Amino acid sequence: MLNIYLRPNSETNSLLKFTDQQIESLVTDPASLKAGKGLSAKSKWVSFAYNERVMWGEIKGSGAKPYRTQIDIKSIAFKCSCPSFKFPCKHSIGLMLLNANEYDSFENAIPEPDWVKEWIDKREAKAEKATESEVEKTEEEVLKADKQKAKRVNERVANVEDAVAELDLWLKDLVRTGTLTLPSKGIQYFENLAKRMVDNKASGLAGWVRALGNLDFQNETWKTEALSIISKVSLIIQAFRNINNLNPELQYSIKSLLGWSQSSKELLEDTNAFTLKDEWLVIGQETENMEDLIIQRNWLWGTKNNQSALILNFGTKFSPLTNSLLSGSILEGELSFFPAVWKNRAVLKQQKGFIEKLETPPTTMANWLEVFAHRSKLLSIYPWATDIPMVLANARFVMDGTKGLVVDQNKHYQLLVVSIDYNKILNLMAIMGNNALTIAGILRKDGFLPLGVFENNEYIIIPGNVAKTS
Amino acid sequence: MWQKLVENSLIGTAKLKLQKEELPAFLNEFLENSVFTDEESLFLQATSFANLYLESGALPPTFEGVIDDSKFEETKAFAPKKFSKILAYILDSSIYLPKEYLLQLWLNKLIVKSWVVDSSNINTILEFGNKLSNKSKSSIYEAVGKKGQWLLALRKDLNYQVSEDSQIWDEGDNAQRKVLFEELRKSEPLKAMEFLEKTWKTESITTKRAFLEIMDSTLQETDYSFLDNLWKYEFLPKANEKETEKTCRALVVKMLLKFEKSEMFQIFENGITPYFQKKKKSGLMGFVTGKEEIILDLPVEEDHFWSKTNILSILGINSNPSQSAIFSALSIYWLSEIMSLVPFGFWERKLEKSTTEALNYLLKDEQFKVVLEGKKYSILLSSIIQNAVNTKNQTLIASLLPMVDKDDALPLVGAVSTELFEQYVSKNNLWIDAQVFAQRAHVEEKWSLRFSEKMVVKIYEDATKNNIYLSENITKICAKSLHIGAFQFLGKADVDINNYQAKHYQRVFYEPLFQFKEIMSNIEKYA
Repeated sequence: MLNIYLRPNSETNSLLKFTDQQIESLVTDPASLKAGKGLSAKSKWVSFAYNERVMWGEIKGSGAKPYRTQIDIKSIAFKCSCPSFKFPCKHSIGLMLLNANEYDSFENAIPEPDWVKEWIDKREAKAEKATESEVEKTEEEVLKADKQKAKRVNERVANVEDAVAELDLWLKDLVRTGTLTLPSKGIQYFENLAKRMVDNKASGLAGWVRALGNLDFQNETWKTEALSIISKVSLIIQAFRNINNLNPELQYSIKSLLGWSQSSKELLEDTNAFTLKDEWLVIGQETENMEDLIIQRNWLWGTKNNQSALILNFGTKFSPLTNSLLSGSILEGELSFFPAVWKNRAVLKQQKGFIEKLETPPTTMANWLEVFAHRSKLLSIYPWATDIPMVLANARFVMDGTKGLVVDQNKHYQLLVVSIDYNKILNLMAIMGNNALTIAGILRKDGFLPLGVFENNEYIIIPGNVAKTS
Repeated sequence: MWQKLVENSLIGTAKLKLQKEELPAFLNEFLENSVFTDEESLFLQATSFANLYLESGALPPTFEGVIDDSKFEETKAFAPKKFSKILAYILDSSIYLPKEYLLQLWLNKLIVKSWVVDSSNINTILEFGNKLSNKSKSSIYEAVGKKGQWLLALRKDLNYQVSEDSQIWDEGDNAQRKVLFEELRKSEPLKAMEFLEKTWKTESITTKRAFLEIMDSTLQETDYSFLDNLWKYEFLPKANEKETEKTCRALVVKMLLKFEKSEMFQIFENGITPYFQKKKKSGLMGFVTGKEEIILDLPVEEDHFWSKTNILSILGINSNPSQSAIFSALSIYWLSEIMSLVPFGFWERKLEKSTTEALNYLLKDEQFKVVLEGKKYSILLSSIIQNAVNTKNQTLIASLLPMVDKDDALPLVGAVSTELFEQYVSKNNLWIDAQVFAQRAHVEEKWSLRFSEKMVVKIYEDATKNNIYLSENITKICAKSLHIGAFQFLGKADVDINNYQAKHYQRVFYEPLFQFKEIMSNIEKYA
């Protein structure tokens, strides 16, 4: 199982301490947040306590018995006896806020009451089972399993080859007839093609097709954006056709672009996987709602090794995201990186604990030129690199008419990404003011997505939604 | 290069083949070595290569504008996190609580402690404050510090009056100037008059009227000499007088009538004095004792003093009573108008009566009564109530209150002292009367512990046991005015029983006030 424990973050008191911003980042529904605030007073709770693995409380509800609320604080998850379908429900939010506000009042209780113990034990057992190595098999069983695996791989290769061939043909057809036909095709046309890609196990290609269909055809820039997407897809197809001649890491990268990547479980079991221990600062989070899927991107920054990482969480309408990471928190632990030429996507292998404050400021890039040079280097090894995490020093926010810019000390700038929420810009302005500060964020093709600001060794998350809908 | 490729892609290679000669040499060289021969594959290879080349070689653009790199030297510290959190509680508090009042308490504490609002709360407080009074806005402006003020200058969606008062007075439009004048009349009356006197001569007559109306509703002792000058030199009756000028004169006269020391008042007093006459007391008392009393003997017809011209020119009072049926003579109508203005002590002095006696006479004497639909009414009652409200004459109010029914008493309840208010509510058992408490909505006061305790207990009993509906408006007033010690008597209703009023009480009174108490005690922790 994952060897997880929470380290006391001060000498006088104990364990995890939520911050308001972290709690807000866990709540996607403002009404629940407001209701949760109403339940965050100490007087509302019949009992509350926590220990290194779980936080719990009992609160009087409309029924005869109080509601029982539990939060797994090692791998954030919620359970409440209230009838709400929301995760977290208002009681869980209230309990977290109570922890943020009345930290000193929380009793470090060991052991937990039975009703808490039962739930948290079950969760831990499940996690243990998920990471346990498979039981030993006979030679015959191993051979059979290998055969089956090889068969599955062959089938998948055949499927992906079909998908690539279809898309290649489609692209050539598009190039021959001209992209001026794109705006008249309608979203369903792209969706149908994307679905065929998914059916052929090439969900990565489906994403590129959808990106073409989602272009803003009212805006003249679609013409150049369309060609840019086409050129990248074409490059994937060319790379796939040449995959056997590429080095293993690039092969993984290409497969991943096609939507064919290792599972997290496989990665955690892979003893050859690249791992890195560090104090990881969660610099920010973004949630994207696709049709049936919710994707949460968590960007981390290794404060000692200067390595960035992306941890993805997936959910659906019926199985909500399990928010295992809190924006702005610093966790001491080890990440396992998916094999790739650009080591970026990772999973949490081992979490030792939380750290309250950065000891030293992070190493930063001095200016936008340096950031762009870094991007060029990445593109030279991995031409599809996007969403590049970065920490820029001496950055200043400037409002240029209606556009927000982040300007460096040499007056080079990047526009803020178009999809940014207006409230996030306002909060960025409030935090930065007129000052030149160190800013963390994501460099995207259409601009910069700010996530947080460093001030006096403290990392301040910029509040506001960055959720986007595809 | 890229633009050419885009144009090519739009038209399609069927109509326009890849223009290799337009491409840079390195790209051509690359394409010559390509394994592909078909036009579309070559085009796709060219764009893939070109796109990567352009992306890799891109440089960040340079900002051509001027960067304001002035540093904010914030001399004050950010408010501590725990104190900052109280703000969120205030903003999220129950709708039945006076949030602006709570916010002002929080802001006052923050300002006294020389703190500024922390960055994460700047937008929240600026947005919330945008719809509040100028007083709150002014406190917020100070509280957000230099960073917040910088942000405010960029936020055109927020309307904060952050200019200097003198700048608004000199450069603002009439609406802004009126708002400023009205606020200064309450907060800094001398400054208000200083501004007005500075620009009075250059103001238009309609603007003058507007300022005089504000003065009338906020009249103060220090206004006297300004008004006296206007009466003597500016608004004298003249030929071809404009309507607005007449209105201005009437306003000035009305205000001067409230100053017994004024020359205008002397003229009035000289004119009316002869109508106070001694008369033997009526009825048995007069017959037995032979004692005399002073009465006001008004003429039924116009005479040298009680005439339309005289009353208009001296007192500025028009002679068109809106409800002429009430007044048996014009002199009674004029008297009712005067009665609302002249300090009540004048009538007491002239009639040689105590307040209660003077009231008894003016409200009950037959010449001041009218019969409407078979019922007798005191003609002067509303004027006297208005006088009491305007002058906040507590002796007059105390004498009036027992003489009038609850509806007539409502305006007096708003002007009464806290002590008298408590007595009035207790005596008349009006603990849960929303109309009565609504009159105190704008009064800044704290009730006594005894009264507050009784109030809390009575409301609990009426709402939860006697099934009386509790208006949610009472909660806001109670929150502001209850003695802090009374919160311990706040009763929690048994909401499990199926009693709507009890649940309503719990929701609109108990829970909000409990929340209020918590917020207050959290603010007060920061001594």
